[in-house]
Amino acid sequence: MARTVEEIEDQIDTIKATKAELAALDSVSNTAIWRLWRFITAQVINYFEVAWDKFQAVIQAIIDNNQYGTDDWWYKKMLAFQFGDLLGFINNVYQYPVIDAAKQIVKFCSITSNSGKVQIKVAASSGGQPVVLTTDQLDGLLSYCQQIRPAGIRFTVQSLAADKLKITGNIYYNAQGDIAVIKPAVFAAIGTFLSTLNTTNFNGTLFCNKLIDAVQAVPGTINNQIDLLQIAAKSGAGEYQVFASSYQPASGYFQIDPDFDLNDTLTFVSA
Amino acid sequence: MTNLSFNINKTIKQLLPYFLVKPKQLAWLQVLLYPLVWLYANFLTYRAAQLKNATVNSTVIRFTRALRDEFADETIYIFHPEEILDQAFIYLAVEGAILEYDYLASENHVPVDYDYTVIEYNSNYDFIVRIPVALASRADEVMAYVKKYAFFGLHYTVETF
Repeated sequence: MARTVEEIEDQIDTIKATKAELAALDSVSNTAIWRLWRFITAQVINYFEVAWDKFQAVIQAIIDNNQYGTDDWWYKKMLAFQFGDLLGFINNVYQYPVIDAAKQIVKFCSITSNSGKVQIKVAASSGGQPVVLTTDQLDGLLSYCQQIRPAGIRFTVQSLAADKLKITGNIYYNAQGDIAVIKPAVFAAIGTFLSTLNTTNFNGTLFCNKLIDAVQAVPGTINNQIDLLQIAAKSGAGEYQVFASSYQPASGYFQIDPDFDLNDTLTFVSA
Repeated sequence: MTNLSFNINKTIKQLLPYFLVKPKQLAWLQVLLYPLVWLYANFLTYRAAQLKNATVNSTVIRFTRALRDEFADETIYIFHPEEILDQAFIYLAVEGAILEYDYLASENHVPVDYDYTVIEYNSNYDFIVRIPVALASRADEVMAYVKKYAFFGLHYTVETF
């Protein structure tokens, strides 16, 4: 970082003090010639150091920009995509002329490697939750990826509707509790669990045990008395896939299937 | 672009108190600081030369720009066979498909067009740099330039069109 003029002057003074032959230069007048030369020398050196700092910053930006092709690079590039804007060649780098957050439609992204390809899953956001990109948006993103990808690197870009979940089970609750309170609390707990998974761990794996933990934390439910009779998920129009312990969403996020509302699939049993 | 321009000689004059701006005084300070003027000029020259090179990478959009600049030809492009390779079907004449012909190499048909089986396709390149025929004599140079920036482990080649 560039030193101040005063710091440079101090350094000059320190060195000067070690030179006996300069001892006569002791005038304290601000217009003394030796002080004037010291000041001008320090000032110009300061300018040069500032210029050097700026150059270093530019070089660092270039270095950062050239650490490309990594998972983190892809992730940042996806979030930086601006739907409706074209990349411009500015200062030797392709970039958007104006950063416009309103056009940055990709809010959720996952980068994984799949059979030698970079697999990119993305989603926009609505109400803070992931939603599928429109066809136009996805086409734009695909074109953008084709431009920015390192030559020869294969990739796929997906934006799918949420994987649907169907949860069937028995929830045992304390008979002294108020079912009118416990029931919505259980639904809310499941909703919050999925919402948190979707937003904080996009493309994360759903573990049944963690879902059960979330339900058991609801006051009024009886610990270890939850029978998860069946939990199944599906992507798009595919068939439901029953799973026992965990499931990786094709889309990257989940939604309770409206056709299998929790109100219908969960049975509350007093105990 | 970051503005790094400043004129040291002019700066010296500006920094001097007005009553000390005398020709000899000014000249002496300028002589003293000439090494810095020289160093700064070299710095700017070096900077301009390096900034452009430093930004070249193998992202398709930047690499294409670099190739076009390096070989002064705006038609050079990069393509990925996987993305533009069409599936080809062979029909019986009675099926009424649009007629299309394949040629033997000995027929010297132009443009040269190849059909591949899936197995052959898999051995193809990850990307291909296409250069115009006019640059054919510099294909080795283009290949060397590509090699300098392409990711290690990828298969690529330079073709003319």
